[in-house]
Amino acid sequence: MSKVLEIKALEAGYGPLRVLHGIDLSVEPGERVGILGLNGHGKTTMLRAIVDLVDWKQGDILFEGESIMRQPTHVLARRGIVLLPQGDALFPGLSVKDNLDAGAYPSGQWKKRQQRRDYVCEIFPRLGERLDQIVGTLSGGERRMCSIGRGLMSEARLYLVDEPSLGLGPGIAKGICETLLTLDLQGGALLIAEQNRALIEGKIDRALRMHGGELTPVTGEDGDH
Amino acid sequence: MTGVIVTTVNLTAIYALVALGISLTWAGLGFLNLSAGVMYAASAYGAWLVSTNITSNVVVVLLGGIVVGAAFGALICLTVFLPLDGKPNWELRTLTATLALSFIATNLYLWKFGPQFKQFEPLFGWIPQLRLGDTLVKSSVTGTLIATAIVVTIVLVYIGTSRIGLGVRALTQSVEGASLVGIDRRTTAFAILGVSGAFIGLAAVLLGQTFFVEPNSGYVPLIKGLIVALLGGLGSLRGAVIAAFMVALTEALTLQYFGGAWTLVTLFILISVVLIIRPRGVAGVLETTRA
Amino acid sequence: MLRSRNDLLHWGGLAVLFALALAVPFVFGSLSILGSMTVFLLLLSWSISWRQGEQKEEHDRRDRSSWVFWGMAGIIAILIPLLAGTPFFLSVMVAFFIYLSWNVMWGLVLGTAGLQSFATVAVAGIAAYAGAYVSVGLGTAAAAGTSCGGKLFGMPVFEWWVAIPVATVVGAIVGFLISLPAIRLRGIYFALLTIGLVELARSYAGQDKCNLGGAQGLYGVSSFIPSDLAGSLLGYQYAYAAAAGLALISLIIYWRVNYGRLGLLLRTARESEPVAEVLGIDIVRTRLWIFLISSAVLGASGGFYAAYYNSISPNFFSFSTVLLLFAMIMIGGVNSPRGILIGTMLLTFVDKRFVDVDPPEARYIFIGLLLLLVTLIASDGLVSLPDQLRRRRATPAGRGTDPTGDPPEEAAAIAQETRMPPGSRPQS
Repeated sequence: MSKVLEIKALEAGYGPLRVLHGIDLSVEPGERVGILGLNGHGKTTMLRAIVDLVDWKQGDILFEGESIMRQPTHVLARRGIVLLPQGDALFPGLSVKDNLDAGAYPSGQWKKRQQRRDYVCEIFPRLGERLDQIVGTLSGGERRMCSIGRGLMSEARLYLVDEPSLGLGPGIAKGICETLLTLDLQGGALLIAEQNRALIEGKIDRALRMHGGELTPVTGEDGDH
Repeated sequence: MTGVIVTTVNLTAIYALVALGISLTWAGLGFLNLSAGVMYAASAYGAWLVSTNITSNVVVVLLGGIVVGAAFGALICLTVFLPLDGKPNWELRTLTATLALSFIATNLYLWKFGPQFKQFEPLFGWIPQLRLGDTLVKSSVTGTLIATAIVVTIVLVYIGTSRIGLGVRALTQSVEGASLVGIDRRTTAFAILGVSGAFIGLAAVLLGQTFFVEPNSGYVPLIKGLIVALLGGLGSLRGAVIAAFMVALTEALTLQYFGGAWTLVTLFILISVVLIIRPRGVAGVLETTRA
Repeated sequence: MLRSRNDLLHWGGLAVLFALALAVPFVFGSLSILGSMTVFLLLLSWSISWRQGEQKEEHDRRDRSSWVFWGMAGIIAILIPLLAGTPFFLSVMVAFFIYLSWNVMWGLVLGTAGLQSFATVAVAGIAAYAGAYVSVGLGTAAAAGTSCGGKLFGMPVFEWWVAIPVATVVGAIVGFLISLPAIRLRGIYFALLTIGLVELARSYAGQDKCNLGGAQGLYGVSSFIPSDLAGSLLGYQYAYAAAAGLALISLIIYWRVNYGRLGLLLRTARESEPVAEVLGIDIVRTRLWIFLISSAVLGASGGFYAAYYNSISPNFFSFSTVLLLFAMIMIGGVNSPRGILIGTMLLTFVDKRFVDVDPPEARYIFIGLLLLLVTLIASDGLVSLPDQLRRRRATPAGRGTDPTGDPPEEAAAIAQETRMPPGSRPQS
């Protein structure tokens, strides 16, 4: 069975700035991998590079055995790679329902959107209560839920989660991380970049540290799931 | 006074159509469609050709204008927007490309159709003239209102409920968010420019009822449409409609009390006043930031 | 420069081309030399750009190669009247030099300062009217207190050497007035305003019969050509020299501004206003200055225009003139003086050469198509093609096609003359 994700010697950056200095990573089906480390060292850049949201990149990235280096973001989204970005990238003028439905935009997913929406609203009941509310008026925590909910609307094969706890109170952050890390991946995989180690400790299969644009394994980290 | 109301309503409909076309394109693509003028003229000529050579059935002629407008929008997408999207010096180059297209098209019309004004067969003659107070409401005005209301409603409902419509709306809110969920900006651009063209095409046929069609007929609607879109706050559809009303009202009042020569002056005054108070347009505060 | 066989081939080839270009008018008529020299200068520019390699940016290139280009341009300017100096051709060249003078100033505003202004024609025209009025209008019926509406022929009240300075000053004033909204309004709003200004000027000039001659304009403006020479070949040559002088002065002013401190400040402000402010650049003042300087020169050349043609009319303000001039600078390359020169030459040639073609609209369609094509293909006009080709070869692998990448602030540095679409932020 091929790996879900394989990154080889990845370098990437913005303009003249090189952020990643040769990243190697493989992720097996069903794995939950945590990327720890302080901000500004490349966690976000790596996740964005996978979905082609950086200025330039070199090296190779393989998704389910095929190179995706030349594929644009929206194509990758349709193929099942979903980024839950820092800052949410929601549609502030649209309703919660519209935002969620957008997550099921790829034509194969669109037909099942009612089902998926019900599923998401089970996980995040608060979203279910506010389906017709304009997203711009939601609280920070609710927006984060909406962003994650949107990401769950399609049957993704690879989830890339970028700092889900950012800007949230400890209770909500804990709840959201738990939800994310107990999702049924159905053979896919999940990569989560999180500064706050405590929130993901124990729920991931393995951890790596990103420092200065380089990735190193973190020893002594074992999941019990 | 009722004469002013009638004129205002009539003009509002038409200016709103053109401004909506321009604002929608800007909101969804960050692209200022200055070729709206040629789109307008092309649709007017297209509809005129239909009405003189095929049939003067009102629905067919209107559809003719709308279809030509939409097709032109797709053409702009293909020849100007897609090739330049993401390239260096993009802003100035799209401005130049649309100006070049206007230049080409205007001269083409001049060549093929000649400088003489072409007149439309009255499309709405079958609508009885209504009386509003002491004013006679011309059938063309009533027709304009009905046609605009129908088309705009259909389009807005479609955009509000369909998948592609959601794609368009999402794109006006967040380019990054749209790509993240699989919306292809470049394909959606066709839908946006097509709708924009359809609106402008409709406006062309409707306004063609009162005025003639000639090679430069797109120029004034373009300028007015741009002014209305800018006054409303580029990118805000609600603002476009409000601004259309303000411009139409000003023009109607000026026509009634000062005469046609002063319409440019009062328009200029209106623009200055609005932009001083709200440099980003009427709906500038409501302008959704594309995050 | 003649270091290798390559060099020999290169310069030899260019020399042959030059000789051919010189011979052309003897076969194809006097106007054709403008066309052949355009092609020659374009090839010369390309070869210079190509050979300069990765070195400096367009606006930093003040080394010897640049002088070769301008030296050749100067030589051509001297040779042309000698080889093809028919009155018709010389008058075409006078028009060309005037356009060049306008376009070079427009290049300062649109290119160097990055301000989307279309006011060139308005400024030049208003100044031309001012000069004409001082020259002729003051002697009109209206000024004499009698009723308005007769033919407006006056004996020149003031000569050209008063009229042209007046035009210069008026141009500067108009430029100052235009610079005021430039502070508040962003890109397209300002562009529209300036287009509106041209229209306003046209309709006002057309309506003011008493002072400005209405639709017919003002006639009998005093010219700088000595009256005994008017109409003779020597007169045309005189005009040619004067016009060439005007163009040269404009170019010199362009160089001094563009490569001087003001140009540097403007380019910084153009790339990134926040950065410029942090650096302490007074953006408002720099923009004011650029409008003042460019408009003063536009005024002078507007006055020159009125003096040469002995008249000015509202047709001056037609939008097709604006578009034609715009096409000239955009086809050539708005950020490069070479580009402006070549673009102006090319379109003057096309416009005059095909004036008899049937149908008359065909040449405008052709110009429009040319402009469209160049815009779609070249990042900054024809002269930028070698650089573009070189850049394309050097692009790092894996560049995404999706323009939504949101770079951190440090990435602004690589912008150069690139300006990416709004992506995820509204333009400020």
